Amino acid sequence: MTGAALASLRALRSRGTPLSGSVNPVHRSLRFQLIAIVVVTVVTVLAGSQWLDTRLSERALERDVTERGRIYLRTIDSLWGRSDSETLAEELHALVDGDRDLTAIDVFGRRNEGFALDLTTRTGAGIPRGALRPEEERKLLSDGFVDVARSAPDGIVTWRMAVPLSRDGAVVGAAQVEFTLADIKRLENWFRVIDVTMLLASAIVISLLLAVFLGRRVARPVEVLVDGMRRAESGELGARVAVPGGGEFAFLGRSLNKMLTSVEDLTSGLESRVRQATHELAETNRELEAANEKLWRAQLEVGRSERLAALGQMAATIAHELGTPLNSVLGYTQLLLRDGLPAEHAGKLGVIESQVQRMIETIRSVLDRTRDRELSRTPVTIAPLVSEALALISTRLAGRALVLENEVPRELPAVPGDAAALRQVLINLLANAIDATEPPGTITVGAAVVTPNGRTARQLEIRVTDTGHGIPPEELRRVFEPFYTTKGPGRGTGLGLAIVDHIVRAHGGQVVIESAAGRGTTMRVRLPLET
Amino acid sequence: MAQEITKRDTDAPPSARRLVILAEDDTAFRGLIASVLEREGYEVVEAADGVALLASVETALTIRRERADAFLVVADIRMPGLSGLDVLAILRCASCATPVILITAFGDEATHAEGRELGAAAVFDKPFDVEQLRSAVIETMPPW
Repeated sequence: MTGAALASLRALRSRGTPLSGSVNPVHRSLRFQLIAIVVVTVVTVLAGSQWLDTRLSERALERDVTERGRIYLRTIDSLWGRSDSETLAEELHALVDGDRDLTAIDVFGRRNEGFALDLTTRTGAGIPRGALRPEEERKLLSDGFVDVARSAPDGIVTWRMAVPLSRDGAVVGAAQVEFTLADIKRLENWFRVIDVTMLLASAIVISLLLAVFLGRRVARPVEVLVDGMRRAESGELGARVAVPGGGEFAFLGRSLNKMLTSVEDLTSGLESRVRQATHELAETNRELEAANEKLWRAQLEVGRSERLAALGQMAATIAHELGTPLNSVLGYTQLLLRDGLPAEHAGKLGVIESQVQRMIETIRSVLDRTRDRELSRTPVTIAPLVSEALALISTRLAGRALVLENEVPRELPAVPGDAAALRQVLINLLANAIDATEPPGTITVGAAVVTPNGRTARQLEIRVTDTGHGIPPEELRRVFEPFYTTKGPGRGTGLGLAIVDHIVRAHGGQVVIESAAGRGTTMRVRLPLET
Repeated sequence: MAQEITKRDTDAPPSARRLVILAEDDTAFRGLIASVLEREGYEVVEAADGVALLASVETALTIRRERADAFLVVADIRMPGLSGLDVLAILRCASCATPVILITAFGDEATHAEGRELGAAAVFDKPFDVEQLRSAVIETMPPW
């Protein structure tokens, strides 16, 4: 049964039919098939045994009747020799009366042509029925026994047996007994009805018992198994089946549970591995992004540093080459000026001198900006430095309606650094802010101790905010590049922020720009307080 | 070896005037400084490079028999061959106490520091006011 159930399930799986839709038909067909097979078998066996039983009882009846016929015929033979016809008739009537099945006895006398009825127990119209037919007579003479059974349409069997009667070795007559098996046949029919009824009843009972049994022992476990498999198939790997009782189905259930446990373990292992792998991948991606960002920054920085270094070298060379001739011009001019020339000439020479001085100043400022000098590390108090820078830069306002506000608190901790360089940073940032702001506007300098990004190291943040035109996002990245300027020709060298960045980096800090086009810019210089 | 030692005529008698050896590879500028110093009454010996400068110093010490601290050297730092700093180092190694005023073009802090370390009397940064140089020379060693 287990095999059949499995085969059915397997067939079902291989057809790809969803299990859920055909659970009941499977059970029903299985149950009905089994019941049908059993019922057919039972009916066949019972019918066969019935048939055999009938045959056997018929044979027994036949033997019994034949035996009784022979006995009666022998009795008639012996009576026929000794008694007269009156006595014989009485004797024969007595025999017929004594046996319910024995319906008639005929005694024939031999004539020239054949046998003629001498004596019979039959009465009325039944007489001719007992007459011997010519082929019967011949058989009687040749075989010494005739046995004829005739079945009437009403099911009544008439059975005749005849033997020859001999006197001194010659056949002089014949005796015939006739049995009518009406009662037996009736009984037989009655029994057949009972048998068929029994057959049907037993078939029904067996079917019912089998249905109950199959329902309990097959259909229910199969249903449980299929339900479990369906749940597992729909992804509920935690599903377990509880097959009642023992036997193959329980074993199947336990195997299914074990398999599901394995699958669940495997799946959860796989899931956790996938999750782990995904996590690792994301982590790697993040690291990669961070590394990329770092690399990009480094490249940018290297580019800036290189340009700044090249610039420094170039400036130094030019300065050296220009220094001497400029000094000659300046010196000779001064010599001439001392010679007491007419005022007109002296004035012109004064212009020459001032122009030369301007050239010298320009060269010096470029050199100062590009030259890498050793930064000192002394505690620098920011507040006075800011005041100083504001005082220096205020000359650049040249009457423009810009307000410079100092919001730096007095009680800030000193930052380790180079005061001159940091002043340069402030001046450059302020100069930038002034250049970027159209009057009327406000430039605010503030400072605070911060710990950005939740880092533990405290930093001093100096903030220069303007209300200027701001920096577009695409330009934000480039503002620290040397020679990058948005100012018109002759208004900026493009070195200001490059130098700011350079100095702040040399202090281990960083510059952060926040800007929105049209709404101003905030430059934040963050310097580490602890080295 | 480029060598250019010139003696200029001035009003004061040569022996009475203090000697300044001036080393500078730029002729125009050398002429300017020389004219300023001569106007102050110094006897100026000019040299176009470091080697000529050393030769002039040697001449002053051996032929003119000047005391080492009785004359002055004004030298540009960057010159062909030996630099002003090289010459200063050589003089100091030779225990020659001749005062030296160095001139550099847009010199950086390191150059200034090196010059001072070697015992330069002053370090001038081109372009400078010749008036300042004049004052420094007079201060280091008066012409009379």
